[in-house]
Amino acid sequence: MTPHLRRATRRRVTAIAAAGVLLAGFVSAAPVQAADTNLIVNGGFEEGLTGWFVNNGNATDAATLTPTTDAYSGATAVHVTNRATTGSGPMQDLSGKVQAGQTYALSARIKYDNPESPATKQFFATMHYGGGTYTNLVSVTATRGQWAHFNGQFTIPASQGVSTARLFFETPWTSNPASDPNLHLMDFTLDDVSVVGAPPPPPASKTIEVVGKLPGEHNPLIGHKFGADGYGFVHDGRVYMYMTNDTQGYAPNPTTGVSPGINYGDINQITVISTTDMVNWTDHGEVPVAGPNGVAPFTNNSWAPGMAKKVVDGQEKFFLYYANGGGSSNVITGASPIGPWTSERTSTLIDGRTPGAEAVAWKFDPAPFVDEDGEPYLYFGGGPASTSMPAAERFNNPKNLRAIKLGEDMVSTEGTAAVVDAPVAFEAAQVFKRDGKYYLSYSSHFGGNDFGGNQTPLPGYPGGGQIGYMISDDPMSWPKETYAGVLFPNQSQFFGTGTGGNNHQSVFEYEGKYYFTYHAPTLNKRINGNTTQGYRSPHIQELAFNADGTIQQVVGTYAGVEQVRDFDPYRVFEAETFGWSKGIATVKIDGGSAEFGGSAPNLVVRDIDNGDWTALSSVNFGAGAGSVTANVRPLVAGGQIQVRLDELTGPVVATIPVDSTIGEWTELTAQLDGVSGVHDVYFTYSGPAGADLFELDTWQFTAATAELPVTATVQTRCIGGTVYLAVQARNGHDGPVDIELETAYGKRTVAAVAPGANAYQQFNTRTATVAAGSATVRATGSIDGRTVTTTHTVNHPGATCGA
Amino acid sequence: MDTGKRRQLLAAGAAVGLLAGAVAVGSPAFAEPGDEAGVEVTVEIEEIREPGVLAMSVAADSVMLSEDGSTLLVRQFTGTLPTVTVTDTRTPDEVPEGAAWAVLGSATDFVGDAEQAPIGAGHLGWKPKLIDGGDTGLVSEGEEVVTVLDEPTQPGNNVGLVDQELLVSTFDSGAVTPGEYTVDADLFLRTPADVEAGAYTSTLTLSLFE
Repeated sequence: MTPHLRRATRRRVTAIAAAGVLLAGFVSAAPVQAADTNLIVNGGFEEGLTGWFVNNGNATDAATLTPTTDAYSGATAVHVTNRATTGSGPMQDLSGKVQAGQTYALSARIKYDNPESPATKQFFATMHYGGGTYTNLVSVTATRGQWAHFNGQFTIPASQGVSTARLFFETPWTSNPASDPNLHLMDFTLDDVSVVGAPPPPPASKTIEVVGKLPGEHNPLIGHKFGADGYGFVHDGRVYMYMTNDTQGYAPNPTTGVSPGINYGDINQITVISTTDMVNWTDHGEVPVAGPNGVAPFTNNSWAPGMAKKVVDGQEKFFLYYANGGGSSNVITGASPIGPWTSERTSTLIDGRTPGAEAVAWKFDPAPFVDEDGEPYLYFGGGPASTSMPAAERFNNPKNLRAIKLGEDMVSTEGTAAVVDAPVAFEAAQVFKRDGKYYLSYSSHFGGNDFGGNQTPLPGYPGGGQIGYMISDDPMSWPKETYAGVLFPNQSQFFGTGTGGNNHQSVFEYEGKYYFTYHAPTLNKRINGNTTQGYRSPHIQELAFNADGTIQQVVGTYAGVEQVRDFDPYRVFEAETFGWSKGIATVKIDGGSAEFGGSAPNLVVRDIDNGDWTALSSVNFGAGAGSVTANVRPLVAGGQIQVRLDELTGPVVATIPVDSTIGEWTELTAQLDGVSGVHDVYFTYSGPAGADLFELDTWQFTAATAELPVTATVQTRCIGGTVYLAVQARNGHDGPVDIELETAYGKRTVAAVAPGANAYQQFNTRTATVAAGSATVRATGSIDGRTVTTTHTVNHPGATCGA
Repeated sequence: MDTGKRRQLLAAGAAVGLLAGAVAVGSPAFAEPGDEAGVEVTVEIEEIREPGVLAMSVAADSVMLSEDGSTLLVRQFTGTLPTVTVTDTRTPDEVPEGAAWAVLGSATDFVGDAEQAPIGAGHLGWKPKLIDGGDTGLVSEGEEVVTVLDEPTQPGNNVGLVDQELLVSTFDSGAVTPGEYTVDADLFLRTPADVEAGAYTSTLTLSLFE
């Protein structure tokens, strides 16, 4: 279902509702609209400091907020002390609540009591729109010791970006407030804050409604979100891809479906996906790396991640490096490849203070490499060449990349950065090691004034937007002589019009094969055709080497790499694991992951409409599936999940009516018959049009109960006046089975009974009379590689042996 | 019913079968008058087929137990039962439907040679060990029987060899014949530590039933 159709349906529903209102009243001539809403949470501070924090727009801003009973109304207000700047005051984040072009009424009560302060003082209510953009909204001049009333309106200009909008209260700016703290930095008390206006807009849908990754193809890796600058990382048998969250600023126009071009400044999250088969990828959601609510709030952006693990102080840790915009690079620390995440630093790792990096224009794109001896390195840098060099050198050898040693803690650098003299280099240095040689790959620039004006590269040097590489014996030594060629041409050579922008690559080894990651706006192209907006998608190709260690140039394909193993359905696995999908989105909810553990983020599949589907590639059902269980939260009545084999229109092998209580997570199960062997599996969703049907957390298939063909008999026998129980079991299976024979008179286990052979034991009851009873026969063997135990209970009659 | 009787019955059955086997006679001859006619009389007599038998043999008629594994509380004397062989030369059709053979054993009290107090048969246990049971799985050794000084290892099996205990059996004689099956057993005599020194003798009787 496309957003257009859905929206039209909604509009029709709204019109009917409006007609009803008009018929009932006929009093209001005004268009029906939602009532104005107070957007402030806990404006009266009756819930303490909930929703409030100290303005942190500048590093120097600081203050202490304390609830106080000196309130204008109610029991509590907030008292602001220890103010470091004029901007130091209580702040509330209204991002996503206020809208450009709207007018709001602002009311608040403020008071100051410092007898050393002037008799009157002006205060501002100010909005921080991110970066260095501040707008004073409403002011009031207070009289010392009396409550003053902010009471005004403000209109947000239609042109104002509001992705960040944070309201705070302050005194008028001056550059050196500490020169007269009583005048500029007096304590004050604030109460009864309200901002009333249009209610927060429903978030516009970012859901990608087209099929972005076509069934049968393996590139792009995912079709439900974007992801750029992918960095492949292997841990514990699993491949992780860390990516710039290109989806963060993606905002398709509800009518045209076209988003404004990508704005890297919007991006402060890293997207993580993982797989064990290279085709079915699990979405782990976004790491909130930078920005006011990020793991490292002293950074604003997170682009171009790099990942490494190292045992530090006896503990295995995971280090996620990222570009904080173009100016610096930083690192956060994970307890696992998917977190939880902490920041060990309070300032950026690579910046203008880094020795040897002074001449690097863009101190970004950090890529870590831990050598076999445990020695860690970081590669970074890019951007315009130093103008001190001749034009030809600026173009061919811009010397804008760097290598530096990392400290043993992985969150510090050691010594001076060394120049990586990569020909025509732009950015994205990354290093891997193979057969004792170090390989550094990088992205090439597009020429222009930044690189001494347009020129023809030296023979063999890369053209624009290609991936070149170097081979060295020393991870810190990369003279231009180590250049080895172009490893990947410009992506547009393979993916055509609408692609061809920057690229960013990594190489990783998984189960003996080398893989090459890169990006291309192929999903963007599937959504918008040849006019793309720069939203990039992750791709992977296999990397092959020549006998002399050089790399065979990679060919970009939609086919991608081969699936390296079948998908195992007989376990609880996340529903946000997709071979392919259509029209769905994912969202993080509370709680841990059923598959990845309590401290891993818990994502669910959402925005499931009638006709949407998700699919898994090459699922191995072995001898046969018995049931499928979905953990699902119904949002409307009448939803259904169909399970189909091999193709979207393939036969339905199970149907799960999603008929449980609306709004509650429930496990629903359907039986499966006759599903065995390897199949692609399509989950297709149906229900009322125009509604989100349900959310999905996990799937679980169970195998059909397989039985070992073991037959058992039990006889009573009289020998020497005593009753014996003779218990016999025959193995009719095609492999050996262990058989346990158990009666009230003893137990006997016979290991590895051959096919066609028997387990037999005659148990002495030591009495002349036994009552009717039973023997239990347990056979344990392997069916299709799975261990199965089959139990029979065999009855015997009572018996008496005559003397 | 013991095997001796059973064996007689089986022999009788085999004899009936032999009577039913015909003597072969040649075809009638024709002769002209005055001819000398000779009639060749031939007969083929089949070898009398011995009926198969089910029998048991024991490799030796005595075993000496020697002290091994004694503790402060219990003295233990061990040995190995001489190999017992059950041989069945019957054809499957000679075996009555549902028949199943079994060898049981019981021991007498150990009697001293110098008027020591006897040691009850309950102090002698065994653990039968199948040496060759064929590959059907239908011949198996009996369960371990422990002594009156032990905790039971199977329900009620700490009784020693006072009564007949199972050494080896088959689930179905017809399914395992013809064949030769062998079994022995670990023997262990466990006495209190204060048992009187001296030589003792017991007789362990093995019986084949079917």
